[in-house]
Amino acid sequence: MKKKKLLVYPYSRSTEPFIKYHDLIKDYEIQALVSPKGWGIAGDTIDTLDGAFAVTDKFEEELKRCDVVWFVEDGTCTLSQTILDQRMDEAKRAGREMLFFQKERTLKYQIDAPYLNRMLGNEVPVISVIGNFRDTNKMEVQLGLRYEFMKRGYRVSSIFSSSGGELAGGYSFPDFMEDPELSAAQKTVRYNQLVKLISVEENPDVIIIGVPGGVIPYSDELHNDFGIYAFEISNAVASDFTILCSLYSPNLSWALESEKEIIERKFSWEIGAVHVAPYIWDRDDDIGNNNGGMTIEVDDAFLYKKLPDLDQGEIWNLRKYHNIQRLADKIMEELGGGD
Amino acid sequence: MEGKVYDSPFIHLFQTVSGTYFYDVNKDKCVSVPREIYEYLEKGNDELEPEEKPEYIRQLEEDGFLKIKRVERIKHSKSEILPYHLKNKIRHLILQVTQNCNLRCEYCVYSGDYQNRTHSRKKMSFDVAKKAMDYYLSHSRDNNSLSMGFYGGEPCLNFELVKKCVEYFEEKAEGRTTAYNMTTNATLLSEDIIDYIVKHDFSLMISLDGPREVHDKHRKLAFSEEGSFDRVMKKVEYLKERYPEYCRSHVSFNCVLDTENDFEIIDHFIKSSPLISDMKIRSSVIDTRNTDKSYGLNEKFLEEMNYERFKIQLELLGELPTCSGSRLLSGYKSSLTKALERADGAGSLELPDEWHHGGPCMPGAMRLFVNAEGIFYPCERVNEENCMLQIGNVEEGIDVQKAEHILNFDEKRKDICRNCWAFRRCSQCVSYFEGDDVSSAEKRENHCKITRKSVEEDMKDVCVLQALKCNYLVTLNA
Repeated sequence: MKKKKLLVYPYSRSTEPFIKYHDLIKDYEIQALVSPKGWGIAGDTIDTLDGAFAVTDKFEEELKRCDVVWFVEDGTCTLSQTILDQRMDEAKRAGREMLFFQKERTLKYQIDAPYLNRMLGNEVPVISVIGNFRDTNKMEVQLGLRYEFMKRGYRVSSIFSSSGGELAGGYSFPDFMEDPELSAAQKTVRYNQLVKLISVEENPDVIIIGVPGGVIPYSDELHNDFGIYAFEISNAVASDFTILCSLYSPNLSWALESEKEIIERKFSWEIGAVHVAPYIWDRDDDIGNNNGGMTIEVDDAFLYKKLPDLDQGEIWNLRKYHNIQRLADKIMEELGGGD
Repeated sequence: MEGKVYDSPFIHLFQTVSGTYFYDVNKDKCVSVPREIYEYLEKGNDELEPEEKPEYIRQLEEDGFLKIKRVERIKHSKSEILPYHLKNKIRHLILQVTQNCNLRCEYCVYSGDYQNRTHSRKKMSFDVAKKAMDYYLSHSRDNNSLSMGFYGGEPCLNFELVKKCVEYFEEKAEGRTTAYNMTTNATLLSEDIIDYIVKHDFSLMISLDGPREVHDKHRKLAFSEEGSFDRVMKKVEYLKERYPEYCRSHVSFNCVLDTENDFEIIDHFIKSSPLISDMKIRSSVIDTRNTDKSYGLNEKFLEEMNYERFKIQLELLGELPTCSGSRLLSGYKSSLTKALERADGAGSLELPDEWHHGGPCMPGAMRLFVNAEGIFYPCERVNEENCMLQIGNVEEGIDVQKAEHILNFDEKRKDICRNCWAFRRCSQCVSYFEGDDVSSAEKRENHCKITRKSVEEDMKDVCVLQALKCNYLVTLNA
């Protein structure tokens, strides 16, 4: 069946992993990446494994050439509702299908009443992708591993750490995890049962789960909600291999040792690999006091200069595809893969 | 380590009414010590064997105090990431829309008494403004929102350009939250201008030095001895009547304090004027950088200001209700509260090997000031005639090397800075830099003396409050 042509709007760096691993998107073909004029991204080139896409700010023009518009629902997005409504109107008037993965998200699997409060066992290996902050490339690692294991012929189920997961054949972060009416215990049980249901229905060889945000406080000012999601998810399902995605910091190795110990003690997650994201916490970017995002983006040249052992020990740059492949080898070795 | 080998603890001794202290530069902590220990440290018995030292001193050393370490290199910790900030995270753009002004304030840095440009008729063209805005937009993607300021001279003299800039920016900055601000003498705020700035949510800072006799002492109309106070107040009255909510949330006043005046007269005016008493206000003393002009210090000014500082301290001790102290010293209250919080913190293990005192913000990244001709500067307070402080222009962008050089502007004063006990607390920025000649060096040393004195006074305030068991957290929630 011919794939529908997809326009991604508003495109930002949080969506980049989907573009890079666009082969995971079975029903759609990426046609255009459109970013609002003021974001400074139009004109960028986004590399994929087999080519590249250019980012533009010409929504009306690109709308004519596509069938479907994916309206990206990113929690950090600063696009005003007015502009969003305007774009949705334009798409509607042009007769385009519209995709939303957050506001129209419903849980695919419904849990039968007798099991509502019961934890269920799980035999499928679980790979967890966690971070010490938000925006540490967790989605890229989750998509990269999904892509690689599927390429190797394995059946992979994914519960991602943010929205849009359905596009890549997995699931967005479940909406019940953000339901203020549910207690932490109820969320834990539901997540456990979701994993079980997926494992029964899809019979995967491996399940990849992502935990949103940071799992422990990053500093006195940035508490990351004290890892509430991590607490709930770690109680819901045991992890067989855990990847920690970290911001870069000048004393990274020292900080990681401490973080790994805390994470293991709090969540029983033993860190098997660390990914360093090209972002640094901007200490002067006071949350309440100025207009910045909380990190500053650096580049690979900076990371490799500051971390000469990058990719040679336990700290990796998993934005490089060959490192995803090497990590997949390591995971398979540790989990006894090949069966 | 190059140069002289230092073998004495890197500390600074001081006394307050409540006790004797030393400030440990490595630990960044003030420590209360008994008098006999204070005197011991004052004598500097560094050559004693450990067993000859008092037990008190040995314990301090075991706890990590009294280290002799100085930084080895004067280099700002953000030097390596400055290029990334300049590429993606320029925070505020400030456009000098005109170099003209309808006032001739005597203490103005453009009055001719300062090492800086003087007033001129130069206006920024829309072409230059557009290029500056485009540059900002393409170098700020890591910001959640954008901020653009309009400066002068008096920006109302080129308000047509301001409007064009806002309209252009709003179109180009689609998808981002934008904020505008303007510093003005208020005398030219017409009804149309007021309607416009309210419609676009401008933050407005109005210069007002105090009651008529104080304000008009320095802030006169151009080529006239007539003061501007009445005109300013008329505009403020209209603005407040027409847009009271906007005034409360978006308008603040900047009061430049002349130390030859009485502090109390100004404070009384701020408290009692129905137009000003409920508005935000900040103050600063007349700038003494880059000038040979000096202003006298009225003893009464100092007494009255110190009395208000004392009242603020009593507020923090819970002995006086909140807002008992002068609003002119809201900056003092805020910095004192932060200093108390800092004093409560863990401090530091020791000085790093390389560091630059905390004064410099990242040039071009925190603020990008563009003058009427399209030249880039680190902020609007620097001497525009000093080529060293020009960090680029609208055609070529920011010169990253120059910006880095400014970030580390005190590298040349390595031996002075690294041995200065106020190193960690020094907030001097590149606007203090007047040149490499001898006379500039002497002026700079004078500024350093003032800085050290100010840092010491702040430490004393904090130590006295701590000794009196100040609970600053209670007042934060009051």
